[in-house]
Amino acid sequence: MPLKIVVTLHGIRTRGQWQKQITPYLARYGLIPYHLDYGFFGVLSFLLPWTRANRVQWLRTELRDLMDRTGAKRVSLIAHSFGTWLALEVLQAENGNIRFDRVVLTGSIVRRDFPWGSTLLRKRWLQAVRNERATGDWVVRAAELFSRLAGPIAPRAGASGANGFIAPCKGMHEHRIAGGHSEVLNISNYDKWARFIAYPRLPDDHLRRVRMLVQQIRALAASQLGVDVALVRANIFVPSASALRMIPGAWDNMTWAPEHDIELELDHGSTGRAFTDGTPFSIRRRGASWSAGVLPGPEQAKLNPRLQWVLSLPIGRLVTHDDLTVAQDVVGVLNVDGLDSIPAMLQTPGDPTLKTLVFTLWASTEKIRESLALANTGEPLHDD
Amino acid sequence: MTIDLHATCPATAEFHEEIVQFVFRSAVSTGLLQNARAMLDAAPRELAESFEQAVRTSGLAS
Repeated sequence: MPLKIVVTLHGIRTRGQWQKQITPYLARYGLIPYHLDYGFFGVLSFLLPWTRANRVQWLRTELRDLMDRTGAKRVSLIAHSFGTWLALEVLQAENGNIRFDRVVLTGSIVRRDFPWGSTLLRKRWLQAVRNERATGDWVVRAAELFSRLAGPIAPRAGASGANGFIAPCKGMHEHRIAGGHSEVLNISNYDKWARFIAYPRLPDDHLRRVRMLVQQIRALAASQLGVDVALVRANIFVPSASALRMIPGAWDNMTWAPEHDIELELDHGSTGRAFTDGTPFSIRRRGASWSAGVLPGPEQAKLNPRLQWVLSLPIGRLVTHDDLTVAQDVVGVLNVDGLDSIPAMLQTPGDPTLKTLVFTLWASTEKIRESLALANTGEPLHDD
Repeated sequence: MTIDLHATCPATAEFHEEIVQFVFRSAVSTGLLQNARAMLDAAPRELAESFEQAVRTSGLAS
């Protein structure tokens, strides 16, 4: 999984002291901070369209240079106040040429009807947003008022940092505190922002629980299938940058290192189908190789050559709709797979014990789902 | 409860046999829940709790 670069961007009438304070929190999760500073930008400069346009152009150049020099396809972002407005002006102006990974907005003055769902998350110009807002933030309300009163010279600004966005969508996470414009920059939030951006890399609290459950599911599968547990493995794939990738460390018995970097299309093979359809799938190897279409060549080359079968369980809320039990809001796929031979039970898919086993393993992923859902928003594990 | 198994890719006969979708129809029956719980009897507590949480929150047992 590639290292993540986190661009930080301050607001007006400040040089962003918080940007220096947040560095160790980002480092703790293996994130690479890149603090941008456009100097002290006063209120008058904010009111003038040409000085705002000048800063937008500056940020476009900075981000292009950063991505050229690092080879990063996306960067993550933490922005405050005017920095939030700048970043999203750039995102729209670049029309997909610059893409963000995960974005934290604090004291946001981005307009409340910003088209997240229709133009951004769906086009994958960014992956996820955490909007940290303060109910008593009068600065963002003043920005919205100015935007309404000043007509064509006004920035298209809004009070999303106080009232949130009008049409939240999948991938948009709202978090509210009581307080004012600078209180969202509370140091107690930094750890959560770092966790949010680091996802799908799991912090220790979630990783410990997820790994334990993965180990237990693997052991149960091996004992019920009647095979040597040493020949059974388990791993979790989650969506990351338009592909499904394994969560580092959230696996058991995955000793074939090339597999750790496998990238799957969202609807590819049993893993991809389980992710998109929300139902379990199994796939078996026949003959010398997997069938064409199961994996593209470079990814197939990463597979352990001893791999014989895979059972893919979508991780989501189990619900019954229209007479079907499916996983809803799927956050990933737990794969249990095996080496060297195919258990007899898997060769007779109608076996009632197999049906019970698949259901048992599938429903047992619930606490994994809970952890992944929390980690995806940056929240720590709550005590059971 | 019934479980239908559908081969899901019509591309080739061989592929047809290899990938299997587990389709769980109708609300989960008491029998299946009992069998699943029996399967979890010897499993660690955390796994059984995770299973029960799914059953509880999804309303599958109702």
